[in-house]
Amino acid sequence: MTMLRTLTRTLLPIAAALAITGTARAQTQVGVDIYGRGGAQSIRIAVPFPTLHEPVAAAAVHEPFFSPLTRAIAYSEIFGVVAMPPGKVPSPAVAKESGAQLYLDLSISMAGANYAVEARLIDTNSNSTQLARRYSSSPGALTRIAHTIANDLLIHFTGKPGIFLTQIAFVSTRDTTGQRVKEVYVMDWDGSNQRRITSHKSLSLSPSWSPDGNKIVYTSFGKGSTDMYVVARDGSTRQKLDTGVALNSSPTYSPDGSKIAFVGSQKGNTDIWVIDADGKNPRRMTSDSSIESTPAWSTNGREISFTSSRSGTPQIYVMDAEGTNVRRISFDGEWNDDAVWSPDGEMIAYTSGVKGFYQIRIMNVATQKTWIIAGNGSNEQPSWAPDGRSIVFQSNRSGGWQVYRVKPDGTEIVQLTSAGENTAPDWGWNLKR
Amino acid sequence: MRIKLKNLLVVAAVFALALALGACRSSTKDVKAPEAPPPPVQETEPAAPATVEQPTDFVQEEPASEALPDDAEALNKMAQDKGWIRDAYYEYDSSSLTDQAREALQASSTWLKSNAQYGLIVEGHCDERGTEQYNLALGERRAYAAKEYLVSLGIDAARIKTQSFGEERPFDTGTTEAAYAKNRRAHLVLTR
Repeated sequence: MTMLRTLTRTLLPIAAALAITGTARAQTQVGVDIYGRGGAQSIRIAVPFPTLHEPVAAAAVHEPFFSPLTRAIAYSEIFGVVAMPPGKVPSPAVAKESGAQLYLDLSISMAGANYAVEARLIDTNSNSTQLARRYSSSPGALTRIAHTIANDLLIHFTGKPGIFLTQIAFVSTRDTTGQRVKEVYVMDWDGSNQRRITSHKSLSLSPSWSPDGNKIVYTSFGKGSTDMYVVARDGSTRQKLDTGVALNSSPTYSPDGSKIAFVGSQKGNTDIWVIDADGKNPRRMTSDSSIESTPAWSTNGREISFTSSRSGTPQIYVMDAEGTNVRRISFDGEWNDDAVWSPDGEMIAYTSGVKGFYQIRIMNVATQKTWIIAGNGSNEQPSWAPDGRSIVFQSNRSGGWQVYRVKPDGTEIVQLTSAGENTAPDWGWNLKR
Repeated sequence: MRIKLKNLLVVAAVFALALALGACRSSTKDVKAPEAPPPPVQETEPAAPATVEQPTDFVQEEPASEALPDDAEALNKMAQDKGWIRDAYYEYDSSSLTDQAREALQASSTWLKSNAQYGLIVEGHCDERGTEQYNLALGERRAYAAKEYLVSLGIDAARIKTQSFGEERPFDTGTTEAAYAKNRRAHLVLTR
């Protein structure tokens, strides 16, 4: 039964992709294979290294462009990248011999100070061009072009953009000189383009993206008080939210962007609070005398999950967004926190303490069945990718805290950060950036 | 009945200790004050700047309390080293005041009462076990529990701010129970 449900769940998006791809298939003869337990499908595509025109150097193109492009194409699961035979000049004909249905022909030249990238998608059967695009960028934005090309390929075959232009906010200690400093950073989905957007030179914690991807709300420590701030995605403008209560931790935007849920404290009693996104109208949503912490909106915005110690240990609870109908949902593990809802609203990922070790646990909301993404060390603070097919989290498995990305089934783990200690990842869900 | 008596004895002992500490402090001051001005010491210091500087020091010390550093960091180090203000420690995942916590806060309140020029930030800290977000809330409760007790001992609530650091600023980065115990505290910081 569960197997069937899982199979249906994974096959549905594929069916949608097939339906959309139908017309393209008729013209291009490019088929879609479905195989394996995970229902992975792939269009076999050859992606040879770009043809470079003087004075473009291979070294300037490999890391900023070619690596992120192939990473993104491989991640999509729509495409299977076919290796080209060594010693042969790449061409659609050679790619066809290797079993590739598509050949991505890339060339890069300079146009003044900018790079000009041409991408042509060729059907190896008919030798016809399926997609031809020209991209232009400053040298610093080559990675963005790579991510844009991968997104355009996905849109062409599925009608939906990929996640390759989305960004992950996180907190890093890399600017520490004396006492430990934490600033808010953002990076691309694959860990590229890491850049700082705050400069409080104190502790800044818990960044959370606005749904439109324009702003990040976070908590920052002043002398004797802790406040929430909203910062523009490029760090250019900053606004302090005056909540009238203390702590102001774990802020998170509602799915429609109109509200922010957070943890507020009055006389030491922490509760879940909600404030309008412009900083007006703070109101308390829970009133228990126990510890309440770490709110998260359900994907449709109708419910809020949170952590409460009311049963004696920290556990996950869900209430209606108006604060009514509170019920406990976590029963596995002695210390549960950091709940976040998947983009389809069907799963909740959270941090689950088992025998003193913390693991990312995923719960099917309907059945309340859970499973653990096993990993060494402590693994905490999960955040879903906008396609629901990855989770980022922090782990100290290699010593210091770093941000990792993993598939919900525990496969394909990738370390995204390495400078300083890096924690509290929040994956922005806006696909258009 | 026996337990009550024992508690009473503990409280009595604590008060005696607090008084003794207070007395000790004022007595050192009293002892120092007459000892401080002896001219022979000054005479051995021939440099002119020193003679200018030293008398002002002593003048300051005589009427009020002993010279407290202007620098906030030095002031707090001195206050902690001398036991004028003492941090309160907590059990795992708890914000209840232990006997140790009450004793420490009682001692602190005694000093705070006689040094009313200082404000106080009570920082709530947690050990690294547990999750960061929850521990921020737990640290908030710890800080407030300490503040509330200080207020019950007669310290003006307006003098005391609370701020939780969760597990962000451990005092001991070790992973033993002894290290964890040091990190579960309400840390008292004097402000001007």
